[in-house]
Amino acid sequence: MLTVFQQVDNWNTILSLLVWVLFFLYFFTDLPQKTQFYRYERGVATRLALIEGLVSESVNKVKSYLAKLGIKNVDPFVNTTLENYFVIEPVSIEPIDIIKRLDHIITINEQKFKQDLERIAPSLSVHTRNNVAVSLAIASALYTIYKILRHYYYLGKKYENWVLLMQLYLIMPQLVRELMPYSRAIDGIIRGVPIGDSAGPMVAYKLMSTAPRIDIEEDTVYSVVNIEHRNVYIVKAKGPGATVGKPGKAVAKLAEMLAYKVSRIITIDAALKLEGERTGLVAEGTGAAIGDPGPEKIEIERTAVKCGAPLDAIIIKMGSDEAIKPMKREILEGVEKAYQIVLDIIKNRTKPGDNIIIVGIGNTVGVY
Amino acid sequence: MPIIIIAMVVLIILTLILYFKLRSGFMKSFQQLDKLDEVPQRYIAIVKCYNNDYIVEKEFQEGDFVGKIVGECPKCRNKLVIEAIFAQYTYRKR
Repeated sequence: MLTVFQQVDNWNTILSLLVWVLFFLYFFTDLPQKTQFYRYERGVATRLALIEGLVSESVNKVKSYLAKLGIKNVDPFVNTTLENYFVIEPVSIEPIDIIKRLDHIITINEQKFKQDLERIAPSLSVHTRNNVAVSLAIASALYTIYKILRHYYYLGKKYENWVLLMQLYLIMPQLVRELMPYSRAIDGIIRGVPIGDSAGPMVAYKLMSTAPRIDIEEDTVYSVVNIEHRNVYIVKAKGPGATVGKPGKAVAKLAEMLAYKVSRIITIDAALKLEGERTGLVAEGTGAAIGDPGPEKIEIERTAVKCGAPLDAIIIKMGSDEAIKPMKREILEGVEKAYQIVLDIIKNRTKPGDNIIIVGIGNTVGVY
Repeated sequence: MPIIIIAMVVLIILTLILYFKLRSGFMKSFQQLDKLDEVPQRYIAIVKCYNNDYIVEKEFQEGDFVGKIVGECPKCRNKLVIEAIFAQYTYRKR
């Protein structure tokens, strides 16, 4: 070897040869793309393993919770739930009665799930069953996202589609960060601690206090209180189990009961903040503050139109992770501010003797 | 010739410094993920008297919920109710 080096006296020749080889490899072969592809593939695989860990962590939490509640044959039930509950959207190119069809499909899916849960755990209270249902829904959402990401990863690998893998590689860090709170959220739901999304029901609770809860719709209650000589009807999901109820249908029913003599409808909900905005910031606007797929929101809007009542929206801002995690003190402070705004609206924008409907939208976990 | 070699060495060193300083891709994100893992440290329940003359913070216990009556007020003997529940967070490395 040494003799070879000694024989070569012109190092410039070797260097230029190397440069030419590199030039050829870089510009006339797929080597750079292959290297990039390998990097993207490894990056996505690492992230996917992280998400898989989150999925198993969440599923194990739900399984151990069910086992703690004394439910037998937990594994087949959880595995079936993770795979089998999906909803196919109704036909949208024919928009006539789409809301009715969507509502019907959502209700059927919910009922099917509740019936299955009731069958395997008949002894559980409704509230505990709701907590189990929401925990399972979170684990299922996490699993669905994982499955979709895995699908695109395998697709990219199978067809050596480096553009697909590159997109996954770029979006994965953001997705992982957004998915991590899901696993944490299950702890809160299982323990029955209010989450960020419970801000609306918390404001409703502050207005209702000890007033009796009257059932009006499935998992939904209302109370009547007198504030400054106004008849205030407060609607919220039935707590303290984890449920969002049917606030839209409850408002429609309530307005019908009041012969559509409603002077104002106020909705309070948690809303996503923009990056840079403070958690717990309260904003007041117009419209129905509710983030459902459509059927509940449209009921509130239609009722407001029928009554000719102004529709106030109060939102408590938070991040998407904060909405599902146990409630932070900043959000609690936002709840107090929203409560004061509601009182202010009642005092200044309505007259004594008026009927007002106030709706606390959101998951009522841990809130009576 | 030596000038070219020195220039190349300087260029390589600069590139390496830049690489480690502005590390992109998933290595940097892992560091950020470690910092961002926010976990609830403890759950606190705010207990209040109906007459608003007594307020105290207590550790959340299994079965507690907002609106639960948890006893009598030591001042006026009225009912004590859980007014709010919230979580205190801490940052933890995964």
